[in-house]
Amino acid sequence: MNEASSPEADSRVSYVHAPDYGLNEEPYYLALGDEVELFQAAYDERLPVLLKGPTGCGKTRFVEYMAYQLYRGAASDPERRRVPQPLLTVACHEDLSATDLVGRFLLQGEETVWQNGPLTRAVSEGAICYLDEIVEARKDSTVLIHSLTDHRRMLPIEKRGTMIDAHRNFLLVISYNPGYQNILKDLKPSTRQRFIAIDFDYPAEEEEAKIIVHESKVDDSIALDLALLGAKVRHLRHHGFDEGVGTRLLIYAGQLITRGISPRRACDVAVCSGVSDDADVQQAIAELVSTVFAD
Amino acid sequence: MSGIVSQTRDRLASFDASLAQRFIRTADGFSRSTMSGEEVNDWARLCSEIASAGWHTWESTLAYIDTCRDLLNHDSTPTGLAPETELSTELLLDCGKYGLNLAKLAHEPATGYFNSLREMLLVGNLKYREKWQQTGLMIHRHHSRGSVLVTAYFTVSGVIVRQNSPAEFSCWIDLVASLVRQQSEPFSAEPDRQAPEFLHEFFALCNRSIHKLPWSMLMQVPRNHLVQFLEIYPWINDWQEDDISVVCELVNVLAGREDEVVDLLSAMTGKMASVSPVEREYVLRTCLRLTTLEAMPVLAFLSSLDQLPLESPEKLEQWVSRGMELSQSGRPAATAYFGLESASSIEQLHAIKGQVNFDEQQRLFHLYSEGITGRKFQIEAVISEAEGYRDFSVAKTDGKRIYLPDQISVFPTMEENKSLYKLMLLHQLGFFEAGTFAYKNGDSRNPFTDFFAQFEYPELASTLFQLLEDGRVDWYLFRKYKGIRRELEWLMAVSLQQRPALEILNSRIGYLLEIIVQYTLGKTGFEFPSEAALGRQVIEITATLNQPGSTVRDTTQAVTKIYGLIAALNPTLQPEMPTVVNAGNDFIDEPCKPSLMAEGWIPEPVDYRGSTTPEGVSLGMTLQELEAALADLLDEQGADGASKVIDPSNVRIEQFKRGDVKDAVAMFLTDLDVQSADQGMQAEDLEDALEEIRKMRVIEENSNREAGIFKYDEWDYQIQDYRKNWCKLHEIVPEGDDELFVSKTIEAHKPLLSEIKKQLQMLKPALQRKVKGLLDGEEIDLDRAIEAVIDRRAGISPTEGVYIQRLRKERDVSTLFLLDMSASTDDVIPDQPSPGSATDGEVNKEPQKTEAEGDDFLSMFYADDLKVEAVKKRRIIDLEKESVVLMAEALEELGDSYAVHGFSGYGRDQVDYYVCKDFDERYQAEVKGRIGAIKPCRSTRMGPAIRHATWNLTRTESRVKALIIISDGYPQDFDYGQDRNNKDYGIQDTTKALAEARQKGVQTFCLTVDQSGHDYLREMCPDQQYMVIQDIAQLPKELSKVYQGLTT
Repeated sequence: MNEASSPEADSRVSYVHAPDYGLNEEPYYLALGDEVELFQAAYDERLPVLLKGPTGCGKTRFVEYMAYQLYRGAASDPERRRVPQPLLTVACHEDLSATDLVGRFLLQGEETVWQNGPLTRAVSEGAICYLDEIVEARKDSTVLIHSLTDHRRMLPIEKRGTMIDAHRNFLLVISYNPGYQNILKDLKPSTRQRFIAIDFDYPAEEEEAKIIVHESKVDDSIALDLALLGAKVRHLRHHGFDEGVGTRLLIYAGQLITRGISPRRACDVAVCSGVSDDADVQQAIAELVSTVFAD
Repeated sequence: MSGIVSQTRDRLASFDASLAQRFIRTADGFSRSTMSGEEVNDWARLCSEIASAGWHTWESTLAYIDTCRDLLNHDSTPTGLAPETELSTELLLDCGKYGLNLAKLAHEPATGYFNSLREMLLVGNLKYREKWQQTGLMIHRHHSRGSVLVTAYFTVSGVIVRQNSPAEFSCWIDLVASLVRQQSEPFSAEPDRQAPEFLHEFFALCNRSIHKLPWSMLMQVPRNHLVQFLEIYPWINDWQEDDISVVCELVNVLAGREDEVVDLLSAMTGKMASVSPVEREYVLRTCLRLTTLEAMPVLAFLSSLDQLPLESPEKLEQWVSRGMELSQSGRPAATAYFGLESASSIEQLHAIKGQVNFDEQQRLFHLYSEGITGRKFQIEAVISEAEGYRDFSVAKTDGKRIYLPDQISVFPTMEENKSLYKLMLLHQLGFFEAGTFAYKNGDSRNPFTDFFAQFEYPELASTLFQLLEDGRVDWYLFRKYKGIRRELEWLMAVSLQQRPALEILNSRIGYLLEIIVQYTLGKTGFEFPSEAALGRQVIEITATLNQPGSTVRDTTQAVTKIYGLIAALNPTLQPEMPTVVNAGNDFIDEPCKPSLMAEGWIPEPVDYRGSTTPEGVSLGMTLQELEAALADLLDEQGADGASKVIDPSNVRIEQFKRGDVKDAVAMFLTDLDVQSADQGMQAEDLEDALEEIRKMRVIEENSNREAGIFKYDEWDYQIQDYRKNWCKLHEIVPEGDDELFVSKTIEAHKPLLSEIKKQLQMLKPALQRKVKGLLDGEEIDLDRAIEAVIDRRAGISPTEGVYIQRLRKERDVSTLFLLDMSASTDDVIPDQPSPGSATDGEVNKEPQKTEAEGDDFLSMFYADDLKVEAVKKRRIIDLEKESVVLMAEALEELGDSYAVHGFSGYGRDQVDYYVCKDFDERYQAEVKGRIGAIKPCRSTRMGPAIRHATWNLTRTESRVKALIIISDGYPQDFDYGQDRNNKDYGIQDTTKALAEARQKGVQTFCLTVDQSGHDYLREMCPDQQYMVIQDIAQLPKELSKVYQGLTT
């Protein structure tokens, strides 16, 4: 049995790549509260972390930022710096099963070869494994993480009949969006109670404006208006789009604006049509846009 | 003096001395003239004869002599006689002889004749004398005892001849002649109006008011409408001749239709009165065009004049020509269109006027407000009943609701009107955005009221606050939202133009306040007609509010400062302030306490800023808080929990007055923390309290709008269009008085009730639903698993979904029972079928109905009931009520949300809608009483009731919405369609209303006990959505089955 090392070989696992694969550059993240300290403390104690918050509020970016700090930045140590890929992110979907996380046998010529899944890789290499939107995944995959997240810190690999102990640098981070998942897909208490939970919400207007400025390079006043618009549109989040408009969309709008698109038009395409299909809601958002931005 | 002359003088002297004198004087004059002695004698003889012709005819003689004297002196009369008039003795004698003939009839006609003759001489219009006299004779001839008529004729002639040209006078005579000649024909559509009376009326009218008329034109007016025309003439007599002629033409076209002509003519004096001369011409020409369509459209058009954009003929023309097109489909369509009753007409008009309607924008406003503030507001329209004038400064908020005008058509284009709407709304939202209601005044619970109360004249402080805060809010919005800057500037500029000039304000306070208003509207470069220093100071203070970061506290400070300035106007301060206010007021010296509210000091409101008062909002918000607190308590703690937390000795919500609601809230909220569980407050008490507060809220809210009135469109199949806002529906919460009814019903139908309950309980197991084909689940789906194995064996990639999961399905059902309360439900139910026939009740059902289980069993139970029922005569309404009561009892157990409403009414303006139990109301004694009190009323106008029920249902936002209508016959009302006997109108409208309901996601079902129901229900409802209950006693049972069918 050979171990295939290339994670790309398994097409069923989607990897979300940071702009820099090996996290060699510090991602931009603006701390909104004490989440950085909390995460640091949790990591020090290797407590699994649950990030709660709506779409586009910066959860993924936060994990990247923390991974950088812990593996590359000020808070790193030589051992951690050697980890080639400090952060393994898995975007969970409803067909994602335990196998996809742990690994599977693949046929290669006449042989079957074992292929590590991202979770196994992180466990053995001592990286952070980030399971994004964990409740989307099938139930068997959530149960899988139970043994990893208590005192045992080990991962059973059923198919091979083995258990591997987690590397001491390994940390499991999951995210969970209480907003739009329906009741059926709620996180089980038995799972939930294995994590410390850090709540995320959209940043306040000034902070969001700073983020927008940084990411999209628009000037301050436009960024402030975009942030204002974001706050207003989020008021409408109970009308068919439970998520509100994420900072990401506002950044998109900002990027369009820096490319010379008029603010109203940029918001039309990035925000209005982006968040809802309800014509009335779209119209209301368009009114908000025209309230905030001049022609 | 000849013998005859002196004899005549003696004879005349026997009647009246002055008469004789005048006679002599005139005779002398004649003798000196060219008259021969013989002629003078003839004349004298004539005078004598006239005087002796009858009773009082000497008066006629007097008139004759006077006329002759004038004739004699004609050279000296200012007008003189027309040269062509042959002034001859012959004429004198001829007239005299004619007069003598009249005098033989009576003295009045003769006198009248001579007097008018004199008028004719004076104006020199003798050309038509012959014709005139002949017509007089004709009148006499045609009306045997017509001396009165003849008198009237001659008397009025004098007036007519004086006012009109000879030609017109001639026309008038012709007109009279033609009227007389027509006597054999009916004079008017009113059969009892006789010819003489008609003539009388005519003469009287001529005499009373109308002297000068284009009589020649009147020749065109049909004779039988002449009087009607003349009656309104005084109102139109200053119109252009062309216009009047069009009116005549219109009357001509409508000739023969008495009512319509009357309506037309009264429209000329009514709605047309306010139309300017320029517009009038267009309107009249349009009327003339419309006559090609028939009379009714013309009248409809005239009736809607005040709502049409008369000032812009192009726009009006658009609307009219669209109407002409649509009117091809018939007269009713045209009438509805031009009467602004059909939807297409109103829409067209709105589009043309650029009118923006609240209804169309409501959801947008909702979302917009929520987006801006993050709070949920109820946005409601203030419906103004007054036509024509509209008060646009109605926008205001009470903290939860925002009121806006129901339509805006201030500006010519829709875009501008939309902008106005939006800014109106935004201004109200601005109070929340800019933190107006976040004002804290120490610990005060009524911060605003207490703040204003510090001043001697709280009204002044309050007004100042409103003006300044309006300004601050606008500045705040202007800074914050770049997108609205241009629109806001434009609107401010427009509003500024409408402000009065400072010079014309005579109240000094009013003057200063107006400066504030104008400054906040963006006015710069003030030129103060007086008190420039003070004005500048006020502006300076006001300007502090236009700074980033200014808060409501800055506003209150500004109020204090400006109030101080105003108070300082007079060193003796407030007591004399009112006299300052009303400089130039007559009451200045009066020692009594004048009021600050004296006229003229409060500035005119700025329309778009509305009229929100902070005190009002405070109260509204307080009540909401209290309600929410109580509701939460009930929800979260449950009855037991709540009773533990609340000490009943503290909470006496029943005793709250409006004023101390604030205190109540505070008290209540602190009480929540007090864990005193000694004496528990009963949950029911708590709910009662909640009910009380809700009522108080309702009172508070209703003071802001006309309570419980809704307007609904109605479908008119004849015009194939909706009649806009056609029906006025009054929502009424009836007085409950018969609580016993419910308990009696339950008592009488115990077995049936338990059966219904049992049936409905069967709905519960269905709450779980199996979902197959899942990737994981509780059970394996054998079929699919086997398939998967087979697939794998066959080398096909198998499906992975082989599991079954049981999913909980929540019941989210709202049902509305709509009861027909028409008079016919008072009928006693016809002979009850024997228990035997009731047993095979299935026969009676619609074949397509799904049968519920256990029918036979159920019928058995019911058979027992029937024996009891057969004894007392029950009415249809009783049965309806019983069915609903049984359903309600059963539903209470099932836990579904339901409502019981009833409807009746009379006419389209009075559709009564009774809310016996609403969705969120508990099924308690009061509700039971209301259901018990349902009684037959009047008609069955189903359409609006269904529409209102649908509206109620859609508000529940339940997933399944069911409307069950229980009626006893086809829809009818006295004006449900033009022809009372035409059932189609009502049926078609109801059909449409049901279709609308379905479109809105409401499932409808009609139950009727009318045996002929099949005929129209088939038309009204799609299959399986109606049922005709042949055995009326089956109603309760059927109802529960229908319910199951609809909600699962």
